[in-house]
Amino acid sequence: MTNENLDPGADAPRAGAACERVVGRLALQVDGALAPLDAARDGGHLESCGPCRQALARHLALLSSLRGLSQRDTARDVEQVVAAVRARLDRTPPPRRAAARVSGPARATRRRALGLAAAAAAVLLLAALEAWTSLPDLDPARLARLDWPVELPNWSEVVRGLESLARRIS
Amino acid sequence: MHPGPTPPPLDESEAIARVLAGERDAFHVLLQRHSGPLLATLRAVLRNREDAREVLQETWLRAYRNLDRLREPARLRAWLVSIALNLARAHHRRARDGELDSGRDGDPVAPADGGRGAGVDLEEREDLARLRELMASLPARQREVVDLRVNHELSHSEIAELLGISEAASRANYYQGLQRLKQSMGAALGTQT
Repeated sequence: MTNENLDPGADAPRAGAACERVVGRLALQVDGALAPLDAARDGGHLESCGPCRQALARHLALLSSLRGLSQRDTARDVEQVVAAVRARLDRTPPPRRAAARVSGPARATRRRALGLAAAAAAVLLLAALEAWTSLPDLDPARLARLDWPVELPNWSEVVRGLESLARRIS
Repeated sequence: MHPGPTPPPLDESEAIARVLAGERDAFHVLLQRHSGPLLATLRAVLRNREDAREVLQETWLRAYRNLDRLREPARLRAWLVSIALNLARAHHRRARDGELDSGRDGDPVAPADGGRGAGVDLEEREDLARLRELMASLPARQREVVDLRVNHELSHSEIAELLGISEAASRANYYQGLQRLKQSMGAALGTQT
């Protein structure tokens, strides 16, 4: 889509092709959307062409009217809303500073603690798996002949492993 | 008593910093500066004056509570508009689902002062009334983009993000909307604009 297609020059002065081009993309010029070279060229034309300047003035007046329209239509309501909001703010807890949220050292400590917990859970899971696989077949006849208790993992070794892991992580 | 020199208007970033430091009154700067355009947008979206006022109040309270989440103060306007539009959509949904008082439908959008602003002559009043009608008659997308660009001074990139459209679509809707307004104003006045 070309610039000209976006803003066809329906209000172009009855003049040359330059006027048609400049007025055709006035909205882009005002919007700062023209390439620098085009903007400079159109700006130069506007300085020397009265009818195009009038078209520019009408465009700016439209924008100004649109802004004025919203202000005029809302002025009284805005006063009332502002007063109501201020009254309600008095009963609303103030926003916290972003810095007051968990950040910096506190966040690092929490992350380390989470890491430790995950590592501990993984070690416990491995130990449990080992205990499970070391169980004999659950044949009732064999179970009856077994000397209980079934060999369990050495928990002091598990704890020592955990402590070592925790030291390495921290 | 001589009032003395007026202090310079508070910069928005400074106002935000002060609010976060516990100065509740600094929020008033933001309230005063942005309530007009926000209310105009909400009235256009909700087409109901009372609903727009209510949603604007909720917008400000939400903005106040979450002000610390605004990482870039320069994006305050876009942030406020996004809160307002989200609340307006939720309001629409509740109205559609019958959760809101249906009696409100009888309160269409109209100028708060009947269009009779101080110092506004008849001709200007008629032009403004005509412009208001023309804005309301624009296709919804064009009207939204023109409003966000002109009244909130949002960039096309911010508008694109807010409305979930491309930047090119934002530009196209903006220029087409303005062009349509110019043509219609010219036709209404019987002049070549």
